[in-house]
Amino acid sequence: MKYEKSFLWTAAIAYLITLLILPLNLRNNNEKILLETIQENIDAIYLNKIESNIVFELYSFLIENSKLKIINSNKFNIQDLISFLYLKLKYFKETMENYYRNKGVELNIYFFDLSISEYSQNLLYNPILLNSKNLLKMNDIEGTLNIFLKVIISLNKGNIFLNRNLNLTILCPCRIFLLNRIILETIKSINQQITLLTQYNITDYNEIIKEFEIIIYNTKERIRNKYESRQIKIDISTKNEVNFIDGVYEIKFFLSINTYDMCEIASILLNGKRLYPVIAEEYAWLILLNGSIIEIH
Amino acid sequence: MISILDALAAFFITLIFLSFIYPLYYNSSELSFLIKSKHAYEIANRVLALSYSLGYIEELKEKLVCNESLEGILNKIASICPKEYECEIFIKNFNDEIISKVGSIKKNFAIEQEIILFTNFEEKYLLIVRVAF
Repeated sequence: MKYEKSFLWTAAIAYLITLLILPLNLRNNNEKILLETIQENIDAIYLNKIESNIVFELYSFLIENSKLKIINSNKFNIQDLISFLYLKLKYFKETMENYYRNKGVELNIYFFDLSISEYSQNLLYNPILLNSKNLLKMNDIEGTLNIFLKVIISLNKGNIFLNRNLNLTILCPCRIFLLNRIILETIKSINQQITLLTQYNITDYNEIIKEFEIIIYNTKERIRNKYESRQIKIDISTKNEVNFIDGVYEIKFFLSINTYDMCEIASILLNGKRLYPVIAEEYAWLILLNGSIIEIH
Repeated sequence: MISILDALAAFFITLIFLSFIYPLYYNSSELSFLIKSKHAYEIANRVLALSYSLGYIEELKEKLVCNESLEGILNKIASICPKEYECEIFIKNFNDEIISKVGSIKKNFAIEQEIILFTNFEEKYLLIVRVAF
């Protein structure tokens, strides 16, 4: 009788407990799923952070390195600039991939189709990226450099994967196309005026040198007045050489033009010094004076 | 009258019951910890994303290049953090040395989000946002 009672008690309590535990156990399983989901959410937030870090830094990195290359080379050479940027992108990719791999993230960045063109009104820019480099304030963007780049970012942490295929259109605040046009305009103008010298009746080479200096001075002033308000600086320096060979005066004129984009936004800070993008060009004329006959080469 | 056998049965049943309840309790505390840390991660992310889009990161890089004081710009970044959260913002170089830091955290738990900054072409830094919960 005694044992029968304890058996009944045990059975009754076991039954009650089972009734209680079953829903609790179910809740426990649900919480496990919830824990996994939240952990995955945290991983997704982390991957999003990495993605924005890559995009914003890449944007800034390409702009700054383009400016650096233009400032260092002084030349308008798009192909050189593209090769330089590809080299820099390799460094960027390795730094980012290695850093985040050490943090337990599988990161792969691929770059394609880097190209450079001049700014045009048809191009669409991301205002958030523009503002990150204070470029929304830029009002004079004629002749500005544009960089196009296709980027694939592949990220993986735990069960979370993130793949992005981006077409970046980057406005580099450096008016090198305008600087180059100013150089061409200046040389064309000087060339036209020098050509007119053949129509004059000049017999003294000193007179030709004087005329040349006047042409340079007038052109320099005209171009300077035209572009000064647009924060463009023009430096022109000349040199001449005279030789007398077989009764003919050979006058060589050497011209060196530097055009600078003096906008602060176009400059870079290097070792505490502010440097501005510059395009430089050299040109030479050979004038032969034989009596009163002038030949220009 | 309760027999020894009844008492023993009740004791073992209680043990079984507790063994089920304990992981449940443990999970609940882990769950609340994770929910709070997820929220802190979101806040840190927002601080970093807004710092980029408002141009603060650009300003910070300029100051790093010019060796100027970083406190002002780090305070600007810290001001993005909601007032009800404790935030720390600091800059480290890649040798793990702290260059500048603003804010302080008194709570026991905090999460950390960092970004790599490329300045002066070959130099790299880490901007770290720590949010307590």
